[in-house]
Amino acid sequence: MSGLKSLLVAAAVAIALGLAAASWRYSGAKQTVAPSEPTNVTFGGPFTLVDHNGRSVTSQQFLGKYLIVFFGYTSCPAVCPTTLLTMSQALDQLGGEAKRIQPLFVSVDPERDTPKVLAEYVAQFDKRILGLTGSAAEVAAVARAFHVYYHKVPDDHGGYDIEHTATMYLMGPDGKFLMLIPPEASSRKIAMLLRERLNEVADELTEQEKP
Amino acid sequence: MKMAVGRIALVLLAFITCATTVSADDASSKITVSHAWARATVPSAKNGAVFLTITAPPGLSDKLIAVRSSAAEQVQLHRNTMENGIARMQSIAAIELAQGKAVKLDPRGLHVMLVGLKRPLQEGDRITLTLVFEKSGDMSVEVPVLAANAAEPLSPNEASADSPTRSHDMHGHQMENHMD
Repeated sequence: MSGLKSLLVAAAVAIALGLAAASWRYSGAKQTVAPSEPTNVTFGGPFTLVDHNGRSVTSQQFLGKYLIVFFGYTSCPAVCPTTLLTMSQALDQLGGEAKRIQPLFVSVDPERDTPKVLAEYVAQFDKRILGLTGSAAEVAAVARAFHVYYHKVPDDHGGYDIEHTATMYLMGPDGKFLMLIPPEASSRKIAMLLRERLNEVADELTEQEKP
Repeated sequence: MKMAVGRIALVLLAFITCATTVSADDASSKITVSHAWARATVPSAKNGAVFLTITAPPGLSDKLIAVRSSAAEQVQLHRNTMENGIARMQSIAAIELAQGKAVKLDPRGLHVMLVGLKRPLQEGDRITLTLVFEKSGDMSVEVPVLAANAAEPLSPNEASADSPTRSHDMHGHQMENHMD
């Protein structure tokens, strides 16, 4: 009898632990899904950087356009080229609407990513994408504003890779944050999300114009 | 448009060149490697990635335990992880190959990492890798270097990427509108 009882207790504990583990994993999964949902966190803010043409730029200059801001570096072996390529394909799919959007690729590797390196790199993907870099402090400031994490991981041969937030940020023509785009999104998904946003605003404007 | 044509040409080139990398002898009982490619790197880059598909034959499970190449100081096996939007790379000891299954190393998952490149990877270059399998031993693979903006040769149109149903629905609606 007591044998059965301890077995039952053990089973109950096992189930409870299982549930706890499952719910913990679920909350983890939920966090990764969350980026496409609107959140209360604000991303972005004023910044001063240098574009890939060597010109100083501020966030003010981009007012009036939608911005897609994403972070990476030109030596990035796998994720950044994929993101840049996906972004370029998404812009193609948007057709003429893409003119309303300025994609900004912000380097988290200002040490190696000079404007010249960025210019050559970005041009290989899409001339519509503007590469931005700056001093270490300027890059740190813009990363902070977007809650972007980046961290240098040195290798044994004098080089390094950088782990970094790969999420994309859509900002409105007023400079305000609109939406997160998850890094795993395909070009079709990105184009769809952007089209929805662009249409939404167009609808609102039409509504306002009505007497 | 020019870029699109260029990309298609690259993809075709990748197919043609990759065909030559597949083990020539008795493919049915041996590990085969296909769709090997690398992306060109910027001159300042010290590391580069190689992608390929490895298929173990039916009846033989194996393990990729190391990769050697004279193109870099060191070659590692890496896994990309994406957690809470943060992209990280993790060095892994081996890649398991289940019998009869293809394991795809691509930019979103596993890759061979060339650490400490002796010179940057340039489009049109070819580099040689030696894949070391636990049971099958060494296998030499020639890898074409494609443009920095090259997509995976296997899925240039993102066939399996996401929500094809949704996009079909949208096409459906558009067609209805036209008919109205």
